Amino acid sequence: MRKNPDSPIRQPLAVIGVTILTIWILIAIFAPLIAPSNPIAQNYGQLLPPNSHNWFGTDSVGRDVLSRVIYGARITLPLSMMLVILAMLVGTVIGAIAGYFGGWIDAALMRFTDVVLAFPGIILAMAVAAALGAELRNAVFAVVLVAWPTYARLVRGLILSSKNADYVTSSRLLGASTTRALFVDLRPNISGPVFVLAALEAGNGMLLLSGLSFLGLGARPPSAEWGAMVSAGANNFDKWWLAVFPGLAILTAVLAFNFLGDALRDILDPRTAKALRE
Amino acid sequence: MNQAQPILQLNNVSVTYKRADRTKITAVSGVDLTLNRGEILGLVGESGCGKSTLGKAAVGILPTSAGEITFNGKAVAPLNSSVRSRELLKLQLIFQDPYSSLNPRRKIGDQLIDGLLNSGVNAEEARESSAKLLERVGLSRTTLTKYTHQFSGGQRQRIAIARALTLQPEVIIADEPISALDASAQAQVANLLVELVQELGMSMIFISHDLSVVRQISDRTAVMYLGKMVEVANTLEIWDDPRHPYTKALIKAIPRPDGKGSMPLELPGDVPDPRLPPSGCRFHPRCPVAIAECSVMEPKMAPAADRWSSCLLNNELRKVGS
Amino acid sequence: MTLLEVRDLSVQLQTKTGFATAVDRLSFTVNEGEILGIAGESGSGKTMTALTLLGLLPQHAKVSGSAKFNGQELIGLSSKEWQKFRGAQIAMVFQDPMTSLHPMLSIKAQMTEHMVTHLGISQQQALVDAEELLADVRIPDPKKALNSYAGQFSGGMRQRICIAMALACKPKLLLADEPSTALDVTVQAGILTLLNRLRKEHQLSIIFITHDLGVLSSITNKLLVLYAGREAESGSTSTILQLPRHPYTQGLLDSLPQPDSNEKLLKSIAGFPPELGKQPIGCAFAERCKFAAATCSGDELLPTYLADSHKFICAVDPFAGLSINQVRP
Repeated sequence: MRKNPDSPIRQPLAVIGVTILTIWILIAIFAPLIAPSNPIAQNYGQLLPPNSHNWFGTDSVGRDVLSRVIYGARITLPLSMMLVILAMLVGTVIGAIAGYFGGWIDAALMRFTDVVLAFPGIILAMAVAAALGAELRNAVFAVVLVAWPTYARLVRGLILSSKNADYVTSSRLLGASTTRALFVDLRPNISGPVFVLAALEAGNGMLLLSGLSFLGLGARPPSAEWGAMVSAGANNFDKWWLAVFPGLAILTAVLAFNFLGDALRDILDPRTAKALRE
Repeated sequence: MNQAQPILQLNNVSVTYKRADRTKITAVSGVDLTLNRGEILGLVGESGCGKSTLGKAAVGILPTSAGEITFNGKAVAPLNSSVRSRELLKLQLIFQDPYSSLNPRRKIGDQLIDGLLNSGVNAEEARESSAKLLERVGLSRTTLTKYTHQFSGGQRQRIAIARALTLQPEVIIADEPISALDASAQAQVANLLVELVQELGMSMIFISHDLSVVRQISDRTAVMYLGKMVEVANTLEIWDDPRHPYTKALIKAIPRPDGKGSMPLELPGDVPDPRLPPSGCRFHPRCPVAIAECSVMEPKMAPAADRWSSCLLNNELRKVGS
Repeated sequence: MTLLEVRDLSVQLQTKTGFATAVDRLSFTVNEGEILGIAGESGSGKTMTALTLLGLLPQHAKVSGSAKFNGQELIGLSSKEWQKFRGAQIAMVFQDPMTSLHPMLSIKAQMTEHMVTHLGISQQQALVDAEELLADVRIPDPKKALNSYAGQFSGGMRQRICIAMALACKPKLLLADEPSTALDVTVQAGILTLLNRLRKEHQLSIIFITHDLGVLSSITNKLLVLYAGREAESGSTSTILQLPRHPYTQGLLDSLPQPDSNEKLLKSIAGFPPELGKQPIGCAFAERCKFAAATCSGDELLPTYLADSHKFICAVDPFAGLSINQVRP
C-alpha cells in the first residue's frame, strides 16, 4: 500500500474502528490475564445479574459472562479473519482468471458464481454447515463458500476494465507474458479495492459465523463463542445480560470492521482520496 | 540519405473489427506503406480515417484481416497470449495519452525496468539504464521512485517515451504523441522524438492530425482518408504541390499564426460512416473537383517510386499529358 | 462600445496549503462585435477567468477586482442574480462537444427547455426559434435534427448545436473555451468561419480561449497572452503576432511549426510553467526566458504601454525597436 503523507488516517470513524479492533485484539491475546475467571468453570451461582463480583452476571450453569466474552474474542476474531482471507484468495483467483482469459472460461466461472450468489447466504451456509456436521471448522468452510463470489465479481470487473488499458498493452509490447501482465500490471489495481471489500466483508463474515453458531451449527456448547452465547441467552430471554453482552461484543467488532472498510475505501480509492486532498 | 532500405513494410493491409453492436468495421482497407531505415514518416488524416488503427496493427496490437506486415523481413505476429519474440521487441509504440499508457499505481522505476527484466537484465543494471534514459529525456533520476500523478502531461509523455526506448527499438510508432499536450510541451516532445530518432538511429512513423507539425519533422508524409491511403510523398513536395484534393483541403484548413486574419478554409461535410464507405473514390462526396467517374471508378494508387496519389483526375491528367 | 470591462481581476483558489493565485490582477475590455482571444497554456488562468465571468467558480474561490458588463458589476452577484446573466446575457461554449450535450435527451428537449424558462416564450415559439437557430449554425435539415440525439451527430455538428444552444437566449457575449481544439482542422475551420459570421451578423462579442495561436490569428481582433495567471502581453492581434514584445509570446510563436523552415526541430521553450501558487514575484516566465536578467525577479514589474493599446510586461524588452523582419525572420 502506498504511504500518503497528505492523508493520515484523520477521519474519526477510521480512528474509532482501528481503536476498537486493537482493543479486541489485545483482549484476545491477553485473555488469560484479563479474564477474572475460567470461562468454562462453573464457579458461581446460576443466572446472577451483573454485580460487583461478576460485572456481566453469570449464565445458566454459573459461568462468569465477562470471562466468556473475553475468551470469545479468541475464537471469533481469528476465525473471522481466517475466513475473510480464504474467501478473498478463492474469489480473487477465480475472478482474475475469468476476467483476464474471458470467453468460455469466463462464462463458466461466472455462471457458477451466479449460482452461488442466487442462494440467500445464510441458508446456503446453513445447508453446507448442516451437511458437514455442526462444528466450528465446518461453519468457517460454509461461510467461505458463501462469501467468495463477491470477491470474484469485484476482481473480474476490475480486470475487465483495465486489462485492455494502454499500460497493459505497452507492457505486452515490452515482452511481458500474460502472467506477468496479470501479476505485475494489474495486481496494484486490484489489491486496493479487494482490501476494502475484505474489511467491509469481515463484519459480514463474522455475523454469518455467529449466526451459524446461534443456530447451533457452529461452536459446540462449552466453547465461549459469541454467537453461541447469544443463542444461549435467547433461551433465557428475561435474563437480558446473557444475550446483551456477547451481542455487544459482536456489534462493536462488526462496526469496527465496517468503519475500517469505509476509511480504507476513502484512502485507496484515488478519486475520493483526491477530492479529499484538494 | 543513400539508398532507401525498407525496415517496416505493410502490404495491402486491412483491419476489420467488430464493434460492441456486432457490426463489422473495416477501419483500414488495403493499405500499402513502407518505412525506410532512418526515416521519419508522418501519417496524417482526420479522426476516424484509420491512422491510429493502422499504427496499432503495425506493431501487432490489432490483428489484420488481410495483407501482411513485415519488420526487418519477418512477419509481425499479432500480440496474443504468447510472449513477443525478441526481434519484435525492437518495434515499439508510443501511445497518445500519457495518462493511460503508464500505470498510476506503480512506481515509475518499476514500470521502466519491466522490459529489461523481461529480457533477462538484472534489476540493478535495469534501474541504472532506466535512470540514464530518464536523464536523456530531460527528467531527473529521482523520477524512478515517484508515481505518475506527480507529473504533468508533457513529463508523463517523456516517461512513456523513455519506457518505449528501454529495449533500444529500431522502429517507433508514435500515435498522436503530442496532441494531448500543452502548447509549449508539444514542441518539446516533438523535438525530443526527432532528436532521439537521429541520435539512436531509429526510424519512426509519426501519426498526427496536425499536418504542420508533420511537415516540420517528417521526411515523408502519408495521407489517409477513410481507411485508404490517398497520397504518399516527400514532405516538402506534398506541402508545395499537393496532388490529391483531400491533401489540398487539409493544408488549406490549417490556421496560420501570421496575424493577418486569414481564415482557414473549411472542408464541408463529415467523414462518412466507415461501415458504408462511398463507392468509387471514397472522398468523392466531399471533393470540390469530383467528376462523374469518381463515384464509380476506384482510383488505384500506382506504387511509383516516391510519389503516390490516388486521384482519378491526376491519372487522367497524366494520361492526357503523356 | 465597451460591453465588458474587467479591472484588476484576481482569483484565488483553495489548495491544501492555503490560497493560491490562479488569476492575478487581469484587466481587459471587450467591445461589442469584437472577438478577444485569450492565449495561454493549461494553468495560465484562462479557464478560471472565463468561469469568473459566468459566476461558476468553485465555492471557496476568492475573487477581487471588478468586471462590469454593460455597466453592471458582476463580481459579488448572488447566485440568484447570476441567473439573469448566465445563459441570457453571457453564454458559454465548452471544449468537448461530446460531453456538453446530454446523450439521453433529444436536441429539441435540451434547446427549448431553457428558452422557455429564460425567455418566457411558449413551447411552440421555442420550437420555431430553435429550428431557426439550427439553420443559422448551418445544421442540415434542422427539423430532423431537433428530434435527434447527440450521438447521431459528428463532433463538428455537435459543436454547432452547442453554439446554437448558447445563442438561444440572444446573449451579447459568448465565452468559447477551446471550442475547436477537439476537432479536426477541416472541421475547425468551419467552426471558426461560423463564429466569425455570427459576430458580424449579430454584433456578438466573443471571448475565444485557446492555446492555438493559429486559430486566434484567424478570428480575433485583440489578444491577451497569459502566463501563470498573469498578463504577459495584450493588444491587437496583428501587432502581437507580427511584432511580439514579450519573450513568452515570441517563444510560443517560435515553437509552432514554421511553414517555410527547413529545420527538422521546432524551437521549443525549455522548462515547465510554474505550479499553481508557486509563481515567483516579478516575472513568472523569467526562469524559462533566455533574455532573463537580474531586473526580472524580486520586484513587481511595471507594464510598458505602446501605441494602439499594445501593452506588455517585461523588464528586459529584448525586441525593442526591431522591425517585423528582425523579430520574426
